[in-house]
Amino acid sequence: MKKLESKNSMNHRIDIVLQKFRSKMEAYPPGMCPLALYRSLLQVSMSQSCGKCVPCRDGLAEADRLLRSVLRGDAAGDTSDRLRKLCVMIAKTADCAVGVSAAQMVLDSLEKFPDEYRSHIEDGRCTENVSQTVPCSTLCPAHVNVPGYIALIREGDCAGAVELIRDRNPFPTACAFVCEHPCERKCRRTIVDQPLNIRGLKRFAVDQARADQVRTPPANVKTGKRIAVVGGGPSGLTCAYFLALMGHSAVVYEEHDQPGGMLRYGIPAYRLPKDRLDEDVRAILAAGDVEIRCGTRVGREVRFEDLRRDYDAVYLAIGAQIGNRLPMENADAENVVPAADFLQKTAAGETMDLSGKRVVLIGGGNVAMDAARTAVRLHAASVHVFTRSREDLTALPEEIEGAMQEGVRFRTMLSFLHIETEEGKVRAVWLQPQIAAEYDRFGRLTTEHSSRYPYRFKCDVLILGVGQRSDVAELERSGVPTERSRIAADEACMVDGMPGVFSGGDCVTGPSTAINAIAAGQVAAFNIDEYLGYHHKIACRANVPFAVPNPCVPTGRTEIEERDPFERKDSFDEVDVPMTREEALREAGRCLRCDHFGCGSMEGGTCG
Amino acid sequence: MNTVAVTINGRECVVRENRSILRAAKENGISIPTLCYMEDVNYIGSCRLCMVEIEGYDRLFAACKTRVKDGMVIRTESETLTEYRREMLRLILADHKTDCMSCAANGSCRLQEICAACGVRDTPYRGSRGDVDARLPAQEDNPFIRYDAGKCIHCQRCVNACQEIACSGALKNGRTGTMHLVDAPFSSGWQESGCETCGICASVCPTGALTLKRDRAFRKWETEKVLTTCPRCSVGCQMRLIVKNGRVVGAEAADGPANRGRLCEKGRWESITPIHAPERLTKPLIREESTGGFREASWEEAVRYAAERFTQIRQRYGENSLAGIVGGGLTNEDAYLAQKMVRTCFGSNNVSGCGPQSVTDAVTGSIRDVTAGADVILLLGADPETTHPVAGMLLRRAVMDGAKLIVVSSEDVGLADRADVQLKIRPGTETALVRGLMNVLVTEGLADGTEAAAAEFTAETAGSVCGVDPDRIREAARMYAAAENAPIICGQGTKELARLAALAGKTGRAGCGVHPLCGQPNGQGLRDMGAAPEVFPGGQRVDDAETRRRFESAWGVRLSPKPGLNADEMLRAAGGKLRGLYVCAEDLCAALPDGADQALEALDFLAVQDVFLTPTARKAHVVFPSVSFAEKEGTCTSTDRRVQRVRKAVEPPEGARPDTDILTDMMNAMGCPQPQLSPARIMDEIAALAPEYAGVSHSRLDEEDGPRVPCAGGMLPGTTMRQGRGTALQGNG
Repeated sequence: MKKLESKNSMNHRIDIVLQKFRSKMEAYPPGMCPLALYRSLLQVSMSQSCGKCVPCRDGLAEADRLLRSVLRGDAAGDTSDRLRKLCVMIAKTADCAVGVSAAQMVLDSLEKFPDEYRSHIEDGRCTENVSQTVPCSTLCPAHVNVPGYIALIREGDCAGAVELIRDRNPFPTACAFVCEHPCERKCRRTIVDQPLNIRGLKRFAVDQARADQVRTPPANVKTGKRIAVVGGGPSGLTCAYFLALMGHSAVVYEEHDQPGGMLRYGIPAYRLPKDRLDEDVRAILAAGDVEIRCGTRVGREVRFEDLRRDYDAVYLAIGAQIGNRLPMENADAENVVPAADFLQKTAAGETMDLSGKRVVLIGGGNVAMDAARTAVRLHAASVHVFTRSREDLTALPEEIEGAMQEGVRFRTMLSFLHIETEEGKVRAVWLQPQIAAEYDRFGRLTTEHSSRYPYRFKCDVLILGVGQRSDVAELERSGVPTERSRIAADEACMVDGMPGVFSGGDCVTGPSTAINAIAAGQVAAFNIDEYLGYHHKIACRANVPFAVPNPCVPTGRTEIEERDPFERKDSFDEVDVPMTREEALREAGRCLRCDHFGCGSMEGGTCG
Repeated sequence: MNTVAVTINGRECVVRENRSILRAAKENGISIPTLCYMEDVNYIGSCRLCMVEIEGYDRLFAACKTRVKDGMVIRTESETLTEYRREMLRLILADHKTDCMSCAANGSCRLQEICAACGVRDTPYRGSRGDVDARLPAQEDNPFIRYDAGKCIHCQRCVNACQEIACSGALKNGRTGTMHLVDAPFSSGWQESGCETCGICASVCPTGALTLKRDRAFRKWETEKVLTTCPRCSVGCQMRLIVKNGRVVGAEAADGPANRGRLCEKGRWESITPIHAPERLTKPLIREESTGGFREASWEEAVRYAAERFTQIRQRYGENSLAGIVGGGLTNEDAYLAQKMVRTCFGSNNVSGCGPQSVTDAVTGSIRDVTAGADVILLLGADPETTHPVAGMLLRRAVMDGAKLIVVSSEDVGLADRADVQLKIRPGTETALVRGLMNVLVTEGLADGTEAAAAEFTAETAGSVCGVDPDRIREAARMYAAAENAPIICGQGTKELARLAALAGKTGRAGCGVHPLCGQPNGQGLRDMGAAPEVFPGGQRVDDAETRRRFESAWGVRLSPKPGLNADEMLRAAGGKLRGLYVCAEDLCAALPDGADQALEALDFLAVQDVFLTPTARKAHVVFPSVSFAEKEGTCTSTDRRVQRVRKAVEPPEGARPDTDILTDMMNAMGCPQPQLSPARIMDEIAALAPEYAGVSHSRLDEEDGPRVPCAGGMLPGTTMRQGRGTALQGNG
């Protein structure tokens, strides 16, 4: 007799388990031993084995035994070799993907973590940097004390929350609006239900306690040292802020008319209203001895050599402001603009009138989404985003969703062939349909031209969201080392071979997020202080409230909603609808206080 | 102070807001079992023995880290809780090596104690660590401390004690795979680990995982403990000597006002090693004129001989030909009698300690106050981590708590790594630097008044003299001036430093002032006892007629009005004006290496009383065997002027006698009748003569934390601060 699967079948019940398992994996804490993880993954694979073929059934069990001996510190010196040989054999001989992929995963571990293997086999323990830390603070590049400020919000002390954020990040407002919130990625709450809406809570805090109304820590007395900061973006201003609190004089050289960098000239006003950005900037400039010289470009008004001579140290944070064009014919035709230039002009008030124009966007990153949604607001007749594959849509999901709601149309599996012009103006773009192919060795999907004919798409404006680069030509001439238009600096933000010159942010990493730039500014400030021979400490007056027991009742995450797409797309007014007090308190109440429970109360268990 | 009302085991309790449940219960007489918990140090909730039930929650909560909330209903005892506590212990035992019979911690093991209390005899579990611990490298290269991972219960008390009490951070948490490790720094290379071998980690270990190697020599129940003051430096740490069968076998920290449970390598190890050393002197020695070697003598003979020789020299060369040196490790009572002997029997004021003469009248708070309440600490010419390690710990604590630190030194000082600003000056340029600081205060309008001595010393001038960036001098001065509370902690108090503090308005308040760290353990006491050439006990000047009359009537002899020689001057005068010297427990050859050898040889007569035959004693004509700090009663005065008890823990080796008894015999033999007094009675005499010690008595010190002098009025708790007097900072340093 044939039967439908019952609702309470084993498979259904297992699916529920797997859902929970998935969230556990997502919330896998930072700082764990990778080999312990690999071993548990291997055991998952073993539990997936049907038990038919020998290599999978018996080979994986032996691989597990070898891995166990590594973890218990009694592995022989040749264990990695034996493990490798065994897994190569399994990968080549297993009957189905279960065994093959399990063995490949172990091989992968040998390739990715040779240091951890060595440490376990030779010293019987993990490498020194393996230790579990609080997820949110660890994953925040600036290591903001996230549980601490959430607890302050919960107590109604939003000013305290702003102070605590600013202990590591002087852009609480800007980050409340636009941060990519890596802090939420491994939020332990995910194990219970969903990650906390940390950015949303920060937004609540800065709305209640405006950054320029909250006291900054008392600046140290003047040290007499002067540091030149090149670039008044998030990285440069962060560096200047901390240097000023340490008592140094920071002089910021900013090419544009106003400070803020990409926060002002890249991110559209509907995401970050400029008057809100000004709150952060005002607080930074008032924190200590910070002087900002706008309209001053190094290499034009002032020479890099002079800065090195006249200042005790230099921080280069020039960002990545030049929008890339494509290396193809007609790429410099009229009406073909890089997204960065398009956004910058719009921010500076030099808006293009796109009424009735068909706009095409190449690229799927956050900058491309900003450009697309800006084009909508400039009354474009249509906005199309073309990407080669769905994977090329790397923007935050909420950005893509927001763009879709505002009428931006997305087409994928189309590769960009060429630009058709007429009288020097773009007329149409040609696109080649693609088919999905293999993943490359970085795990990215590749595509191939399909046999279908290329596709002509008429357009009046072409916006290129294909990356940005730094304007390093002048600095290169002054001897600053670069690599592919990026300044060569290490994780301590020190420029290779140039004592006293530091660099960080987009000009070192390539286009990245505001919080990464802020983290670099913070690291640079403390390292400049060390370089000058000091160990200045910066006080933080906010006191983190004690943790209270959390009953852990599964509770939904409070999302930040956006205004009605049909209303919001007509203006540059802010789109977010911030949390109400009621929502914020409930959301803050979901925090599990990992700074207090679990590893957070251990010595070395917090981060930064 | 806000309070909340909670119910614990059915009883309504009003407790302080934000108290942990554990403390709230304790304050209401309810005890909750703990293993990993240490108040204010370790409250991480590892052992889960302190789990309690809270109404409204299904889960249980660790009382050590859960704070009370108003209206909370808590139960600390139930069948479930009892059973769970037993289960926790069984799980812990499963990974704990139970060779209790031969374990050094047997009898003092907290795990043992609590298993017994909970009725847990063994475990049905196999444990998860297997022999992982056995394969980790042994941690026993440190000469004093060993770590046996097999007994570790991973409670992290040691890690947090190292971090929060020693403030060192040499012990860390580590990991292997899914297991916690204690990264103890006691394997090879321990010297480079930053560990100061203070032993605090071992003292807080609840099992035998971290032990002091010497603890194998005794069981807790075989010992008794005697509270005393550490003799190794002037911080005045309180400690307990552990005594087994009349021998001191160990020392542990006590909760003294300065150390609060801290003790350093010097205190824990160095202090007790000499007590039972085989080289101890037990017989008086007299140098044979004929052979030049020593022969043993009876006490009567040795005392008579020494007294005769001193009397002869005095008769032949006059009063000023005799002098006495008082060791910085002696008690106040010893020092008092020594100076009394010099002043009454020798007839001169030639009495001195030989440490750098510490300036006594500095404005000072207690060492804990100045480190705990400071916004900025100016550390100048001192390396407390090396010389006064517990003070070093307190300074590190202060920095951890947010105090800014300025380090001025010509040497490499470990604390410089934590300094906001460091001024590494050329040797000998400290005064120039301080003048530079004063100059900045005056020129930048940060000073109360002006300072003529600093007029020429601009930051630039001082900078070039000291070899320091002038910006740093300016910053240090500004930082110091801007702070609300800013003590100066220095190696030696000087007039300039006192002036600097006054200029910046940093005097006369808690957490301010100038705090010299006395180089000698009882350096402060020596000066207070008048073991100084220009003052009688209590810092009263010898050239003041009225004072002199008081002492003359008390001591029944005429006293010299002329300030005497200090130790350096004595050595220079040896063989010339100075013919005879009495050295109480000081090795001059080590303390004043420049010229001590020759000077001592030039003397007509040298008497030494000491515990060992030191290089100085080897040059003596008579040597008296005296007793160690563990064998006598007395008091000493810490660098922050706290008078504390030294207590007898063991009998001295036969033949050795207390310093006060030897001095009394000497005085009687030289014709100055001195009754045989107990140290307690000597202190009564001191209290009667030295106004600053009025109110100090052994019985009082036995009842309360040592008061800080001046201490007028028998029942007052002593002074917390002292303003410099007219003669402030006139030390001859």
